[in-house]
Amino acid sequence: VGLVEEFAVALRRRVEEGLTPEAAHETRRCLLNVLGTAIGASRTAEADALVATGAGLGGGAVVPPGRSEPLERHVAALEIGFAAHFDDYDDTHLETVIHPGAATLGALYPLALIEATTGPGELMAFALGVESQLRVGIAMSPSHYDLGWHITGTCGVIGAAVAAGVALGFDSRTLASAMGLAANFAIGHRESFGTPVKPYHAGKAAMNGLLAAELAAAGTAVDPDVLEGAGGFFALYADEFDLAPLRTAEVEARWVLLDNTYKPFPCGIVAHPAIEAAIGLHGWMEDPANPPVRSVAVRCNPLVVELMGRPTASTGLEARFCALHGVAVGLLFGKGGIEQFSDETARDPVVDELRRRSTLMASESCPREAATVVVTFEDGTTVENEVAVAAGSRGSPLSDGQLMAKFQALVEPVLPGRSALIADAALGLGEHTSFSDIASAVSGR
Amino acid sequence: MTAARTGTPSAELAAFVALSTWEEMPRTVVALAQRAIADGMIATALGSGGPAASAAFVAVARDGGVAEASVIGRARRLPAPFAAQVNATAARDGGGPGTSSVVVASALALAEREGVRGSRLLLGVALGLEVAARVGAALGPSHLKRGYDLAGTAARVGGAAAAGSLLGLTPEAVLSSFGYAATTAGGLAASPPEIRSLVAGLAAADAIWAALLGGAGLVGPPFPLEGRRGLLALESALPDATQLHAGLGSTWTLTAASFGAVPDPAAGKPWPEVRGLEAAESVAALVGATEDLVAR
Repeated sequence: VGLVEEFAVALRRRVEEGLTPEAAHETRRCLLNVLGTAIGASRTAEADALVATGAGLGGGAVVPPGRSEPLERHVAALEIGFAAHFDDYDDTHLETVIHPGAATLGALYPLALIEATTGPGELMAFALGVESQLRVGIAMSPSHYDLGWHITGTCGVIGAAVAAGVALGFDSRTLASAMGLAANFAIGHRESFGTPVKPYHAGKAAMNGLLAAELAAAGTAVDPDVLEGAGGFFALYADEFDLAPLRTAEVEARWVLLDNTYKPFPCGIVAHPAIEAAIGLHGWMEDPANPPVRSVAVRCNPLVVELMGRPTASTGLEARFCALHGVAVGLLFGKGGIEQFSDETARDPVVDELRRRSTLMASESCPREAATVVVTFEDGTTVENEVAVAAGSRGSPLSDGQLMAKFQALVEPVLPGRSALIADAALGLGEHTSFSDIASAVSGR
Repeated sequence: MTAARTGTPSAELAAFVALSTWEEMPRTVVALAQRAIADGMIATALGSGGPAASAAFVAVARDGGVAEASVIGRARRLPAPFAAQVNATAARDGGGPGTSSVVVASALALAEREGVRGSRLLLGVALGLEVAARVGAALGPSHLKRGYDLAGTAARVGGAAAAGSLLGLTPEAVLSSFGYAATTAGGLAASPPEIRSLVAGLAAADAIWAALLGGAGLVGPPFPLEGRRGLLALESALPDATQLHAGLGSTWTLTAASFGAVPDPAAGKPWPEVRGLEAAESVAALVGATEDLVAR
């Protein structure tokens, strides 16, 4: 038996056994969060362009959350995954930096509505879509991402295929074919970071995963060693990999989806400790008794410089890859929501001035979840704030209440008055609701 | 605006696609484009009844959509990306060379959607084939050795170039479209033939998406091909970015060999599976339709 079938059999066994209460709860939290980000970015200019192009093709079958235009199912998958990842505000698995929810939601949402699947099956499909792509990612981390691949795209295709396949009730052989096809449809270069091509990866992963499942259902078979073979997926996409996370023993040992986290700020996660530290100093900035700021120093993990070291930003998307922007808005506004990462805020001269006075100081001894911000005023006095374990990290996860507040802040500007109903439908999935209830709540019907 | 004028390989290649004119096309290049279209249509017809094209058709035709482009052998028209997907799948399954199957399928579907024919169609196909050949040359032998499949990689960028030319995109928009196309480059050469055909099909659809999105104003990175984490760096051990733009417009990388061995009926080497077509006149009809399509 090849690895892809062993993995498929193990995933199918998860279907038979059902979700643990903890896994079910975390799956619903993930769904709530990613539904929020999909709605939150559904009416950006970039989503408008994507939807206008897609709607022009006709075949309208599914209305993506937050939109009014029905789209063909693959196009709907593309839009939902794109919007869900657009603000870089979706769920993040810290070990691999995969954002597993976006591609999973993108593939599952249209399929569930069209096929009228049931809530419990949808919850399991969503859970395994997340679980499977995380395991593929863990197997080739850190080599794969370090080579320059956007792991959310490459692994997301496989997760989307699994979500669709489980929703369609595939047996293990068909599920294996879906994953093997998805391995041939993997996409995503990190060159695109800071442009809309990055969220396109999550959308395309959803679209390609859905396609892989449909082709598998039509009887297309893959080689048994499509994943581990000499010319297989892992050999092409990583220099070093360990197949154990896909083996039966490890799949059965635990749900890795429990390690998923939710961002308090819509930007690269490595900058979150610094932003939180900056927010803690907002009161000092507001105090009229203080002289102007001379400089800001941010002591942080070297990854912050590597991934978010751009010195300034002229668009909202660039701001998401500029740790110093996050620090500046944290200091100036005391928060870091969608509005603080808009094009307008990125071009705010006051923000720009503070960014220019700020410096990242990488320190090998600073853990990834920690950061210290030191503000020096013109009179030479300083204030500093250290965050040891950032909110949203594994050590300090967002509470259900914090997650709900984030969801409301994302949804209410787009769908006023509907966030509570949508949240009820999402958090009840598999208990008393299905995706059709979510869609009804989204559309206000 | 700026990126397309800085002389970087991706930008120069994009400008070449956007600004080249029919009058500049050498006769040999035009002949290769005509040949690729004819071969592509015949291969598509040959593969259209196979399991790969049938699976692709079932997957993408469920919701219907605007009848923009013909699905060869199925008497159906679908939105251009989906028609191209089924046709490219069929073309490769029908024995067509991978790269040109993708470029031709993208170009034909988009040309039909846009009502473009004759010299403008030939120009788009020629530019698409040239871009695919140059990206393939830049990726080099190590790309294939690693296990990639040019129909899933270089052809995606070539297909986007063809589609971008047919849409009349600006250099900046073509550069953006290269970003959307390059990032989708993938596919395992070790996969069975049916799956390699499906990879070619998806590549043709992705190429059209890339051109449509670039044309809709969605931007991409400035260096999608030669950037530190772009196509060449990720999918080749020994890339040569100069192949992307050296001698553009004066030196043509495009040769018949770029696409693999193409059977030549005129030289007494007919399509090996031509018997797969139900009636001989179908081939004649297709060739006639092709000649009509590409008549200047």
